[in-house]
Amino acid sequence: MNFKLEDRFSKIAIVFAFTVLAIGGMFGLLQLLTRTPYSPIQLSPDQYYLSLTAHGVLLAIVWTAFFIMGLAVFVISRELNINLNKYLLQGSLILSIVGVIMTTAAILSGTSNVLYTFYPPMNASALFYLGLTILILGTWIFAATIFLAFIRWKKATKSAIPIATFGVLTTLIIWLEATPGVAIEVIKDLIPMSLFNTPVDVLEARTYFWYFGHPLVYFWLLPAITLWYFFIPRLLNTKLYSERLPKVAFILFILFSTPVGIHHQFVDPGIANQYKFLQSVLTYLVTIPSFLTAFTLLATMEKSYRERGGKSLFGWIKELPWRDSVFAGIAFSMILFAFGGIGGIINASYTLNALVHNTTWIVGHFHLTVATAVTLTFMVSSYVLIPAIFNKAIIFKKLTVLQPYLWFIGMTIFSTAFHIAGLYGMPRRTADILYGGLAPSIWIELAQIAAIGGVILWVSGVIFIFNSGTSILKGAHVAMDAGSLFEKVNEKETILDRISVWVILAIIIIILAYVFPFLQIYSRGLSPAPPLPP
Amino acid sequence: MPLIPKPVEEWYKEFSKQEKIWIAIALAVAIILAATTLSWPLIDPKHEVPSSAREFNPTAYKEIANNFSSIYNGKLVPPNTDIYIAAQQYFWSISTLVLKKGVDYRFHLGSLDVIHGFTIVGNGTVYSIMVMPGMEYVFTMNFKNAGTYYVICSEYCGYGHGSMRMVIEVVA
Ligand code: HEM
Ligand SMILES: [Cu+2]
Ligand SMILES: [Cu+2]
Repeated sequence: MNFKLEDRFSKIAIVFAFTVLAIGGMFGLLQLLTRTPYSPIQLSPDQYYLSLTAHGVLLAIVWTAFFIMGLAVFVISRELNINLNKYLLQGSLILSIVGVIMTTAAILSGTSNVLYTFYPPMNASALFYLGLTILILGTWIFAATIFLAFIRWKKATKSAIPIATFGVLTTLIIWLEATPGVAIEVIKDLIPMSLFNTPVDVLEARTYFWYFGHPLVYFWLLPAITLWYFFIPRLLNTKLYSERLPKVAFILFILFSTPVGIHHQFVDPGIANQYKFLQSVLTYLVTIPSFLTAFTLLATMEKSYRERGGKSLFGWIKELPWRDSVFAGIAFSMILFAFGGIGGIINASYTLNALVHNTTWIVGHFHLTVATAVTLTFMVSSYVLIPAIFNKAIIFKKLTVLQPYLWFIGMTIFSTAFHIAGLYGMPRRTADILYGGLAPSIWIELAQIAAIGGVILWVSGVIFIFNSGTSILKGAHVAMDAGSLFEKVNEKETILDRISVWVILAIIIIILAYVFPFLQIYSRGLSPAPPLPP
Repeated sequence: MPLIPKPVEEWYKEFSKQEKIWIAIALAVAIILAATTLSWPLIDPKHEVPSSAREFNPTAYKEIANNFSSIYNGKLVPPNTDIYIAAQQYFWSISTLVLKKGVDYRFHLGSLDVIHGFTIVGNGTVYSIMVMPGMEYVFTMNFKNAGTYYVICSEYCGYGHGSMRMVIEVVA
């Protein structure tokens, strides 16, 4: 079978993602230095918020989404050995890129400094919202392309779904569960607001936003977990400890990742405590699949050691291939994700939330999750995907080993400092943390420590972009049969493979969790507020 | 095509012992976590998350808040007096609030324009709450320690966001 078309899609999507990562990382560095008292680089407030908007939108949404699309096409076409519809594929890519260019142009023009959460009634230029809408439309067409191909495969084979495909499908299902929330917010409220100055009810819009905002984190995370399931057994020359627990975990993500958005609104007025309470409980259920994932992966690592005759209780940790860049990057991602998860339990706590809400604790937290567990996994996976998709060898092999170590060290310093500073109340999203001299000295010291970590992190990012960029452009040609990365399993399907059952159940849970908060919001009567520029 | 494939034996395979143990552990941890944080407000209602909100009219509220500020700015607010604060790009309606230690005060918070964040920092305390247009947030606070606290705006509200602050002096 010929995958020229699919590979061309992946190449464009991945190169676009790397470009966006490079630009977004640059803004990250500028922000970090501005937040460091006495550093020579200080953006003015309007520049700072332009930078923060660009950093958030480009990294949290565009970098992740485009890498995921490139990865999804690769996995589905090779693992299932099928072709995708050419026109849908091209159409989705063009729409997504046009959308991103519109939104980015709006941000860079300085008329849309509303951050990546764009809470109304703060108003951005219509181009910003229209670009987002077109991007979402592009991703929906993309998801349809994948599902159409999958259904064709399923009808023909009737076999169990292989694990990487399962992960990709789960990712797209969560995206489709989540994005209607933000689409409603943008189309119903924000585009009219920016075009016609229509007032917007803030609580209603925020509830739609967070209906999308929380599952968004699983949209980022699941492809990373999929890559962990994919690479760990292959790197250790063994099989996954269990083929079933990963599927159970994915299904739990489908069920519980969406009906929990209100945990971002614990300190919002106008949502009754019972509903906050219910979604807090559901949030704790989402810890279960994370535990299952950790178990399967750690058990796989230990299993490969025992298979090689290892006896000592913890000897397997030392024997792991720590000098392999892909393994090291994934292991660091898992370690930092574990800390991110522990912090997340505090954020999601119905009562502790008020302590950390909107402090740098939160920034420290998501730089462990999306900026490490996800980003670092995507980075090191590229060291395999570049040969597999671009047929180019990586030029600087030694740098691929250095890069994840630097990221790990830099992120540990940066994130620890931001977590601690958050406990001392240091706010996020401010250009100047001195607060006209009010800032306690501990904020200043921690900001300086964070800056050291952030610079190391940035250097690691530069190495990554340099190495993968030159390899894609100038690397030696390698003929690699990417299909051979995937083994052909032909097992009978089980109830776990009946995805439609789980999606229906998920929709029921989502309705139960959200119908009452929305009833409360609408029955109270809306109180729209007029838009204002930042 | 039936949703659930038949016969049953084909789709259900027994979980291994380790898998079962691990599922049980994960479930137990989730339940313990949920139970500890969620029972907290039940045991002591002080830890309850505030969520009571009233409708409000920005113009009328602005007047109440300004009125409050003109009487009490920099002066001790006597117990049993409701506190009214309005947030606006980029200031709070009162600049220095003086409160008595150990007294329950009822706070009213509202925004006259965009979303703001009311974050109290100082003396080991950090506490944050959202201030949203269109709603008046009502909650009770009791300061256990005397000293100076700062209120900073913790939700991005525009370019002057970083300069939006006020002081709470708590006296013995
Ligand atoms: C070069 C490495 C990076 C550095 C130095 C960096 C630095 C920062 C800093 C200092 C902030 C906080 C600004 C503030 O709250 O005032 C921030 C926010 C943020 N970062 Fe990063 N970051 C980096 C990489 C990443 C990556 C790879 C991602 C995601 C994939 C990411 C996602 C975010 C998001 C979503 C925010 C929140 C934006 C907002 O509050 O609106 N960052 N970053
Ligand atoms: Cu969340
Ligand atoms: Cu503010």
